[in-house]
Amino acid sequence: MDSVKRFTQAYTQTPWRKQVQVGGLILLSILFAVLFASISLNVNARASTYGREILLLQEEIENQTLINADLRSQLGVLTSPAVLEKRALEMGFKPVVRDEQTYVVVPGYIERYTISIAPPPQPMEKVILTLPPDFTESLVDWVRRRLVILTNPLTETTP
Amino acid sequence: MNKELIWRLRMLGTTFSMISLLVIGQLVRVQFDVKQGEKLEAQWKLHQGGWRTVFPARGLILDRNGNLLAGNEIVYEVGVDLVQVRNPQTIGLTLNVVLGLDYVKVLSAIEHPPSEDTVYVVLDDFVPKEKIDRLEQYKQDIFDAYTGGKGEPSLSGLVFTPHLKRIYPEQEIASNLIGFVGRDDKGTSKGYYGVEAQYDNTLAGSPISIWVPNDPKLVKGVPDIPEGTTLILTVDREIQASVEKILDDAVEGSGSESGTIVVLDPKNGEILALATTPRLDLNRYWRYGEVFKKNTPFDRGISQTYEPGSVYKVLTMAAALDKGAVKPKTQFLDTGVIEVGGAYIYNWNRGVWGPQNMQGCLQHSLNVCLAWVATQLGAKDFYAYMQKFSIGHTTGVDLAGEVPGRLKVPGDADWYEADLGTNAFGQGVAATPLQMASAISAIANEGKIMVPHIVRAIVSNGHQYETEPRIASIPISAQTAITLTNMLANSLESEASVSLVDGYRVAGKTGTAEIPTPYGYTSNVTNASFVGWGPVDDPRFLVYIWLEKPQTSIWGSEVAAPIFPKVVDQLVVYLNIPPDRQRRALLGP
Repeated sequence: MDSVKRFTQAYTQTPWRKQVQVGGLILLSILFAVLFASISLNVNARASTYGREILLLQEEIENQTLINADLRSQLGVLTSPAVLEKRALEMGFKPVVRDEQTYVVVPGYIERYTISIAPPPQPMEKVILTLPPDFTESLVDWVRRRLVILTNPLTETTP
Repeated sequence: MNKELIWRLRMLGTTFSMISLLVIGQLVRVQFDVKQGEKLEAQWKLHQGGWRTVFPARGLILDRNGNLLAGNEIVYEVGVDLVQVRNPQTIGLTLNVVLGLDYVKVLSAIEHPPSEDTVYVVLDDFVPKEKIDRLEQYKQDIFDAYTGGKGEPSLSGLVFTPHLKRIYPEQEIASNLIGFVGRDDKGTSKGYYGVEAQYDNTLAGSPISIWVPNDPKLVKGVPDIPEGTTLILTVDREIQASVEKILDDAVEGSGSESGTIVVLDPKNGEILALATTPRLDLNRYWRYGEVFKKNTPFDRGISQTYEPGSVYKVLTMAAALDKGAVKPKTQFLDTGVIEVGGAYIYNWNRGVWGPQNMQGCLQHSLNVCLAWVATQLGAKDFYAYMQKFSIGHTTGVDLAGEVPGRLKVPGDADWYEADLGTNAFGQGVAATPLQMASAISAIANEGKIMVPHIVRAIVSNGHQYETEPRIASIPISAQTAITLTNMLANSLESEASVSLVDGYRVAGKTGTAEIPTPYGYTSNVTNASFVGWGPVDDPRFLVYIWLEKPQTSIWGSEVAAPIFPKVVDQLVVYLNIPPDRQRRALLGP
């Protein structure tokens, strides 16, 4: 009780202390508000920038897809039989006829059956669900693993 | 505190309470008023962003060697963002000069200010890149030359949106098989005819609607949009082009109304080529009406039936041999006429051919003999065999627009006993060239008919799936097929037919069919056909030829048969088939 009395008396005798305290609290609040606002602004600005970048990249992907498709078709036009035949004739070639063909046995030659432009479907693989070590290892295990990583950074960290 | 202050505070408290109550009341009302809620939600969504539908690139169509038959190219939609327009006259004038659009129409479309309903106007579509490059250049030049002040020239607001359009690098080659992509009544892309129609949904892929928020913070990654499925066809581009050229020459040379050539691999049902007339440059599909006049089908090979005539005798003989009704050496005395069901049947030259064995009957294409063979077989078995040969049914080919043809059978209201005699030599039966080729392929493939197909493999989600050949039916035994093949090969060799091919033993049969009129078979025009396959000991191809109403000669043996060796000359080169002697030597003892 005495200490409270002394504290009250001190403030009564020097009121500027109370004002300093209130002022300090207000300044602290403003400081926190500014801090939060700036963090929030920073995070929002970065999120907006990345969002915008995502949009631009999506647009770029779409454009590249269109260009790829277009180029593939241009290649098709350039290799059409009419164009190739014209080029071949210009280069001095002539169409092969039946009587001019010679057949020979080529050991190991396997006739191509179907053009392959993509791999065949893979057989269904058994999926083994594994939990990451963070959910299974004990604190001791975790410390040991971290130590191993620190001593040898090239060691595989996950099973 | 004085009274005035207390009164003021109460007033303030009351006002805030009432406002709060109003807000709460509104919240409750919106919750229970569904229509109002939906309206507000729609408004909220409108300001949050918009839905955008992303259409995947349509899948490619490739030939069996990976050559592109149908792809996609970039074209542009030209539109105007009304909010950005500064000088409509400049836009109208520029589009008139570069794209040939009507100046007045463009001006009337873009001169009015933007409204809630209209902020963007489409002025043209499918504009090629070269024209867009010119427009972009004009836009840049004007931007550089003027400050953008009022009344100054400006192309501000002009927008070019790229999208893909179907392109066919081979233009007319295999056009009847491929079909084309046009627009339906709603303006949506749609496949018409051939593979484009049959596999329309597969090629088109699945469009995905994605939400594009106005707030970039809410942007999320767009899921990968898989391209439409790519199709690898059984057709060989080079064979198809060669066969089309041979057909065009034959049609022109014989003065025929049209022509069709089907090339099948009898062992697996793969269509190596299917050439027919007329053909359309698929990049200019809007000329469809000019090219296919009246009721001309897009692909005669699968959509036009005709009475095949004597090539049908192959099926009659196959059925009779298989059933044991006749044997190759069975003798028949041809008197030049036979009566079946009250109708008299004569030979093609009205001649009397005397004693003949079954090979002779086929070699001389005797109607009387084959009608007799059908009677020996009996109506029940004859039609049972024809149905096993899939006559009167679709073949199941994976092409849009196949028609089934017609085979009258006992029990049908319009079937008469006389039909047995005429059907035996291909009269009174309607079939498509592909149906005939497919049915006769049983004789070239040890009695088995494989389902004819055009797609060899599909490529979807990064994997290639091969199409497995399927057996459609086994109408005759392997022994019957081999026996008949040899009979037909001997026939060609005995008469030194023009259809023989040096170095390769082939089997075949000609066909000449009168074309029925409303008054019977009274016209002097015919359908000329030929079917042949080889090499006889290991068939790799079957060629079916049909010329409609040839003018230089009415006989299949004179106009259709000579086409066969020309086609085979090309096939053996492209399919790497050595002459029989060399092949046997290479294979060893």
